[in-house]
Amino acid sequence: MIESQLAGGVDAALVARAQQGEMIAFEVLVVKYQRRIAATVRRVVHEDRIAEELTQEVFLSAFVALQSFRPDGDFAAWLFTIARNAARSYLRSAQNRQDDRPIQPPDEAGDSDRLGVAPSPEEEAMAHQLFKRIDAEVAALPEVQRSALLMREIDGLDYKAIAVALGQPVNTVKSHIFRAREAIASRARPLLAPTRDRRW
Amino acid sequence: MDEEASRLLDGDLTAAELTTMLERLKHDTALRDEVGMQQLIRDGLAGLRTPDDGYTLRIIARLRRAQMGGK
Repeated sequence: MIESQLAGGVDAALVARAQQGEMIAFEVLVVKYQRRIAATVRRVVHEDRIAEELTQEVFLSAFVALQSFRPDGDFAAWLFTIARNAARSYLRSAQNRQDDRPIQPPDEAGDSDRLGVAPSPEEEAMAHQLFKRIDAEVAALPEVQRSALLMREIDGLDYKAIAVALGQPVNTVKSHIFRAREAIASRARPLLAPTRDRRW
Repeated sequence: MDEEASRLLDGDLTAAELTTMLERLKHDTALRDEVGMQQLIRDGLAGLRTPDDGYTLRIIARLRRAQMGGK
């Protein structure tokens, strides 16, 4: 018998594992959502260092409250609600204080954590180069791979919907998308090598 | 590119495969790097183009400290 995919989705499965004490499962959720959460917070507070600090607070709050999360809940929706509330709460308290100091000064948490520190110009330049390379690689993909990939990553379509749109079997669509990602990753990997020690 | 890592992020693993993947992730730094890189590319394609400046690692470090009873 072929085992089916995770019934409640991968997020629900990861949350359940994290609730049982598997920290690595929650770390996967951090990797998956941290940029989206940071972007949501940044849209409210408009400052990188505060957005990073609040993003850390969001994941910490979610982690602490994880046992209260219901198995049938929507983890992403829950997380984004925590993020929006944290950002609005920060703004309210900043307005009350008439002061935009970070919640905790960076030097109190130790240099290794760099709390609330915006990216350096070098890091910004490396990111610019990386995403330029990714754009070039996407443009160079065969048409069907590029279409499938962009429908997945930008339009957010699932494999079935992409298969219908392209008139191809689901497994063929999966193969197109995997090959496209593989091509991009092979070009991106050398540019990411210098920052390996800063990643998960 | 690691296909299992790609399927993890797509939510395309079975429960048994997820168990195996999480066990591998606990011990395999190269696999963690692969998952992180694949997510970075996905986020980049979706328009979230932030520098790879250790952001994820700092969040996780703070969570690990919290789990150990620190702040």
